[in-house]
Amino acid sequence: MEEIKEIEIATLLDAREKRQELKQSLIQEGYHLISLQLNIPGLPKTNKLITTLFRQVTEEFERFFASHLPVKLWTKRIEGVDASGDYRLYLFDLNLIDSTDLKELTEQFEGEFTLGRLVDLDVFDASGHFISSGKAKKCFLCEKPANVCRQIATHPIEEVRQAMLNAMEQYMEDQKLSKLSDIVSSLVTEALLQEVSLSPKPGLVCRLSNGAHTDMDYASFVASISAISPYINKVAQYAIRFKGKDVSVALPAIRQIGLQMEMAMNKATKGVNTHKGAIFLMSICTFAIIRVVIKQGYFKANKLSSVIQQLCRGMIQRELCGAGQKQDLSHGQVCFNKYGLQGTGARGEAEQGLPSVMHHALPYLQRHADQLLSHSSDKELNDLLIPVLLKIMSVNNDTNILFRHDKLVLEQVKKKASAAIRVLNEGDEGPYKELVDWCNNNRISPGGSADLLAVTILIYNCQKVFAEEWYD
Amino acid sequence: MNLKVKAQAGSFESSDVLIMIEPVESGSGRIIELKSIVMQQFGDDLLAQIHADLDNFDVRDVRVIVNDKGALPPTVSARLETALKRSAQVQSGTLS
Repeated sequence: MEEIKEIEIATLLDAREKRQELKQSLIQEGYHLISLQLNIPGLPKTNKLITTLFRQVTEEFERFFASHLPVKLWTKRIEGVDASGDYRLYLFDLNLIDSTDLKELTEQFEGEFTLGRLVDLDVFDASGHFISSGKAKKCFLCEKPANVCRQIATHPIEEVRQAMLNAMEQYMEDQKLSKLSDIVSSLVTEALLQEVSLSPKPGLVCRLSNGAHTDMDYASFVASISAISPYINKVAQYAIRFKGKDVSVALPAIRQIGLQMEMAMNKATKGVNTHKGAIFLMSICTFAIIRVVIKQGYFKANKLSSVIQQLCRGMIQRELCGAGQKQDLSHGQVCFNKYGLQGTGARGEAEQGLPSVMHHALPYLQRHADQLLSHSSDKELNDLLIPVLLKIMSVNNDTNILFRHDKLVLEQVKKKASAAIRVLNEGDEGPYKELVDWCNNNRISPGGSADLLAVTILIYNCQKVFAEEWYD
Repeated sequence: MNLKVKAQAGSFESSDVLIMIEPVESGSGRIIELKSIVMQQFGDDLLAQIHADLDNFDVRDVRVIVNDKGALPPTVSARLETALKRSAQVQSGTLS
């Protein structure tokens, strides 16, 4: 055992000498040099965790440098790993930048960066002098200078190492979660934009027409989506902070943000309801997607469905059966009073875990699409998503239609959508165009189906983006 | 130990030390130039250690330049030993 350790240490000492020789030979080519490495006490100096963190640190450092010195970037970058750990060397043309400026920047980075105390940035000028700040780094565990603590062995080396490894894991977890919420938020915005941009659509607002509507157009949708977007990130942040197993307690908090979204939408559209249903569905989806990815490590549609079911359990009983006949009922509540279980709308979809999406729209989209929808062209998106919309329309008891029309019209819409999709697959766009005109002329707008289409797009993209090991 | 040529061992990496050995005329004694980031706290200990190590190798006349970046005592000994052996031309690497 002791012997193994001795060889390891000799290998380490050897590696440091070689690295020193490499640095010297590079400096002699006429460069200032910055070396970036991590301060890892104990052995081994590198492993999977350390290398992953090191990669993130180099990215941070390079972004920091690029933003401070946009035109004086390094002329050469060398990376490697040896027994002494992972390292990157940056070489700067001595005619373009002063070595003391480099030192100032590296110190600023060490001070600003969350894990700055783990980072070891050395600067050598072109004549081989080590540029020192004269400041000693503090010990990771106490306030004394690190090199003093090490010499008198204040803390067992294993203790310092463990504390550092824990800090690294924490940092990477935080980074991962912040990336998760950023990605989900942008996918939600993208799904809403892709839905409204799809043209032409039956009765719905699109780029070419206002469909069945007179009080809203494409511009109001753009305004509304832009107003909603920042709040989706708030839902995402809440989902990340959420602790506990029973997600049903999360609903009021999500609703609070949802109500803020409604206000933002009303302000943006001067009071026109462009996205009320979408706000509800997208908010609960955002929360549920993040819970699934955190818990599973990746995204799985059937898990999403069950999280949404838990989140919305009892919603129809509480909010529809309990709403009674009071004044200012929402469209959804009015529909429920009139049509019962057929008129549960977005709430019904949610409480059942999005059956129209899970059993109809998503399987259809999966069969016909193979890539992330962000990578599709406008035409590809149209060809892919119009049939998905029809699929949803053919099964969805859309309360937007029930509210403005009746059961008879809803059944007609379902039948026409079903017929249109059959022939559309064979290349006949006729019945689809007829459906578009029929809806537009009779002012029939399947807004609920449009919302579910956006949800389908979101879920499909999440499957593509948050595959296993999405973060590695 | 019979020192023959100028030699060096170690590095500028943190927790390491760079040691240079220069043979000097017999009878000149030990000339030790010591620079350390922990000079204030441990300078004397470091100097004592270098003397003890030189005693061990029976080196009386030598110039030693030590540039310490916080190396622990075993590292200092290992680097000094390698530098001496390189100077005496009995070793080239760290291990052999």
